[in-house]
This record gives sequence, C-alpha cells and structure tokens, in this order.
Amino acid sequence: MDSYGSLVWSLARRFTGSAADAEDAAQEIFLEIWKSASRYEAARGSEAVFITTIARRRLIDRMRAAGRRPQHVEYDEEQFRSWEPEQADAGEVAVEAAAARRALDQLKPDQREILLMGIVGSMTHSEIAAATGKPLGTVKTQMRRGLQKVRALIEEVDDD
Amino acid sequence: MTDTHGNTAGRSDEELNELLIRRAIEPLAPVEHARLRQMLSDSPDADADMWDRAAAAVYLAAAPVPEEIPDSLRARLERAAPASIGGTSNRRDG
Repeated sequence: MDSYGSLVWSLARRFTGSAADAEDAAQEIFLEIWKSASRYEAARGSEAVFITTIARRRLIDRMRAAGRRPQHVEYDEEQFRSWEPEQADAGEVAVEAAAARRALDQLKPDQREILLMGIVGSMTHSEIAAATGKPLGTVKTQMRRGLQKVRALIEEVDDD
Repeated sequence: MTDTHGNTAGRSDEELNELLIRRAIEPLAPVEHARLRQMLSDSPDADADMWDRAAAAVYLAAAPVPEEIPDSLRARLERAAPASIGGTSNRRDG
C-alpha cells in the first residue's frame, strides 16, 4: 500500500468521475491485489506492472459494468518529452517504465500518439480514429504493432 | 471448421488478439465480452494478460507523476487490509 498507493489512486482518479468513486474503486483494486498476490510471478514482470494491470483491468471492468465510457484525459506531449525514469517512485517501476519508454521512443510519432491516446488519454479506438482522421483499421493495426514493440522490449528486460 | 485456405485458426487467433487488445484499452460491449470469455475458455493456453501488461508498462512510462493518496483512503485501506500485511482486518486484539 505504501509503495503503490499513489499509483493506484492516480489511476482510479483518471478512470472515475468523482473522488468518492475513485476511493471506492481504489479500495476494490487493493482488495483484489491482496487476494491475487500469490499469483504474482516475478518472471512475468515487475510488481508495478502486475499492480497496474490489475488496477486498469478492474477500472475498465467497472466502466463496462456501469455502461460508462472512459473519461478523456489529455496527455501532455511536453510532459511526455521531459519524463525521466527517476520520476517513478520505486526502483522496479523505473526499470520497466524506462523499457516501455524506449519502446515508445522507437515508434513512429503517429503510432506513439495512438498508443498514448488510448492508454494515457483513455480514448477508444473509434474515438482515436475520429480524432486523428485515420481509418479504424489503421488505428487497430497501429495500436497492435505499438503494443507488440513494447512487449518485446519489456520481455527483454524481464529476461535479464 | 477450416476454410479452403486453412485459415480458420489464424483468423480465430486474430480475433482473440483483437479482443484482448481492445479489452486492455477500453470496455468491451457485453456481446464482445461474452465472446472473449468463450474464446479464452476454448484456448486455455492463451496468455490472456499479455496485452494488459504491455498497456500497463506504457501507462507507467507516460503517465504523470502519481498523486498522493488521500488520508481518508489510507485509513479505509488500513481497516480493510489483512493483518498479515499490516492492516486491521481480521485482527483479534486482546
């Protein structure tokens, strides 16, 4: 809780409409993390990725159950460009975030933008297609290729 | 069933991956959610979390610095946490 409380709370804030909803969601996420802790395998990624995966899945499931769409969050290109691994609040977060960061840096700018619009900006594929003027099929393909690139680099880090 | 080009398995994998990627990004429609559950139950060896892990790593790499957890939530979590990790839930004092 001390190591990842802020991470879970920030995610919950981005996916919910009010502080009260965010607190409820964060508590649900922690209950699931405590219940799932025995399933954590270090070989499949860091604790930070494990916890972020659980948190995002739970938050997206909550929206699905409630029939709500994600709230759009503007991502700040300037902040993205100035990001340093040291900003992460735990050593493991820094290592995997840095690997993902390298993957993002290797993507074409429009491909990176699509990934960030979806994952940080909480936009659906259709909304990204509308916002960028790209065909939906192109958005899906770019999203898939971008995530494949990230996966490949993360797996290299995990294998080291 | 396989078509004349033997592509059914490939299309099925493609559909499974598309649904898993979309699930990692956005809420699926109920019919898609049911379809995904069926496909995963038909493919028990599929790594259902791989795209979620990649999306989580991107989030960690690109999201702003986390906000401090509020005291009210910290207190709720301490009450709800199992005693084994320092919480008071299930703790029997005295």
